[in-house]
Amino acid sequence: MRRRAAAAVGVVAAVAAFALTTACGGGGTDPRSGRDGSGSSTSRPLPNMVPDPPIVVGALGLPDVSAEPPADLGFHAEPGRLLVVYFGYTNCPDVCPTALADLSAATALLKPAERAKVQVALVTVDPRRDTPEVLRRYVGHFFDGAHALRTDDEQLQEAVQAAFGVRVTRKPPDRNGEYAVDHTSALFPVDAGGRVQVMWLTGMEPSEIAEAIRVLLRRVADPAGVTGIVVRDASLSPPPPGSRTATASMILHNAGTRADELTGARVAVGVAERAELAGPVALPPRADAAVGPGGVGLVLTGVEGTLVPGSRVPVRLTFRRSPPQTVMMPVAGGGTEPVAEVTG
Amino acid sequence: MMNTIRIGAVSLAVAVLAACGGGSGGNARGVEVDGAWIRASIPGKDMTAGYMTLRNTGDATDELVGASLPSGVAERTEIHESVAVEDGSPATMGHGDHMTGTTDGSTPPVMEMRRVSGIELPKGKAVRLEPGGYHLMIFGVKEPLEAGRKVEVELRFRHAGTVTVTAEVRTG
Repeated sequence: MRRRAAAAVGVVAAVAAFALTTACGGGGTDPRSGRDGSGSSTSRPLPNMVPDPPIVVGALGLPDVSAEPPADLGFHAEPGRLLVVYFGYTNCPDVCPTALADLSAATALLKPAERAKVQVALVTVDPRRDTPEVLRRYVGHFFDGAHALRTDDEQLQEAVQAAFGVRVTRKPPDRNGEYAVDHTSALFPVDAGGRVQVMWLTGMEPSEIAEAIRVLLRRVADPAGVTGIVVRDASLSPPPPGSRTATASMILHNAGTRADELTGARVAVGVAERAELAGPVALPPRADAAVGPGGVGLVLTGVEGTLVPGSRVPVRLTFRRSPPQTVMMPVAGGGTEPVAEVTG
Repeated sequence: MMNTIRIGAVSLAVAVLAACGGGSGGNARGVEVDGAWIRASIPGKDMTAGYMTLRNTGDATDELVGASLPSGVAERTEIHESVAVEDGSPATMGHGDHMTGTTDGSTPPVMEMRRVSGIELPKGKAVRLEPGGYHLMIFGVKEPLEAGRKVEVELRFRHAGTVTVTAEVRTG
């Protein structure tokens, strides 16, 4: 049923003040003042929030545990479509079910042609308790065909959360072993360029979410409404015996209408001495460009230690126009070839 | 549907109440509860949330201090609050405005969820337990709660005593 979030008169006044209170004492067990629930709903701001800094996630993805067979889901949509991402966890009894129920109700308000252009993905911020099975069932309750994204790789999880600007804090367990996970709550619609152009605050009515979806769909239907570089099929081959050079490969897709260029790559100290891009890589509009064997070469030289197959190496890519992005390159070999990607 | 239960005043605690200095005839305690509902179970999960509006019709501040469901329905119930927090500090717009708060700048709020020992009910005021704000957190649900079912919820108030309401299970 619809939830009415009341904004009391006192609230409107206090918005201007925007005071920060001191938090309750550490245990958070103080009684809190109740609100004046006068019940009237004053006009509320539009749910759109423009990310600053920009949210650019087209180089990233997460394992999709609802895919058969399992595959990574890249954070980008097909042209003209949206992938709406929410970060939450299944042991969250209030915020997450509400956000997902509202989004589900919103998609039900769309016309079939509109709904077909919207995919949903839930990223768990609590992979310890949210096993693939738990997550699949949970997501399936709210949506048909939504993606359940989950990883045990903490480095990958943090890279994704950082790219979306999502902050996550696991709180200490209570005496029953239960714990809360504080997390940024918002809907992140990702477009074909791997960009989140606007974020939608949770707490909106389903009808507001639906209208926001329609507006954004209209924008991304226009080719000029989408920009960004998407990375697909990234892979890092470990150095052959006797060598300390690892060879990278990936496909870069320029989803925008303006030409761009890959200008550089960097790797973290401690992983390898240097990332070497053989030259700039031209990225013509709305086209793919191959990096690695078959295209401009990208290698990591002076690799430290052993690259474990299945692990991921962060490589920072810089572009002439688009913002830099970090791709978490899966290390190939050892029988654990990186799985093929599916797009949202 | 509205479920309204009114608890009449006088109790054996009259002496205590009088001592509280509530003024003459100041021993009327009343809490009305409207619109109690519980979110229907999500497959695989044995926890859920309950919501309602509490109206203090008494003549002094009261406080919701506990809640429980029948032991055959759920193991335990706590009172919790979801709070929108910006930049690491609670941002209050009014008293602890919850998920609907506007945010300054371009960072969505972090939702914190914390247990509280009680919810204060100012005299003559209504307080909502609603999605994104105060809620009952219900643990150890024994059987999936399906939409349409009615569940008895016992609410305990510091002054008004125990109030039992019938909550409706909804898909929310």
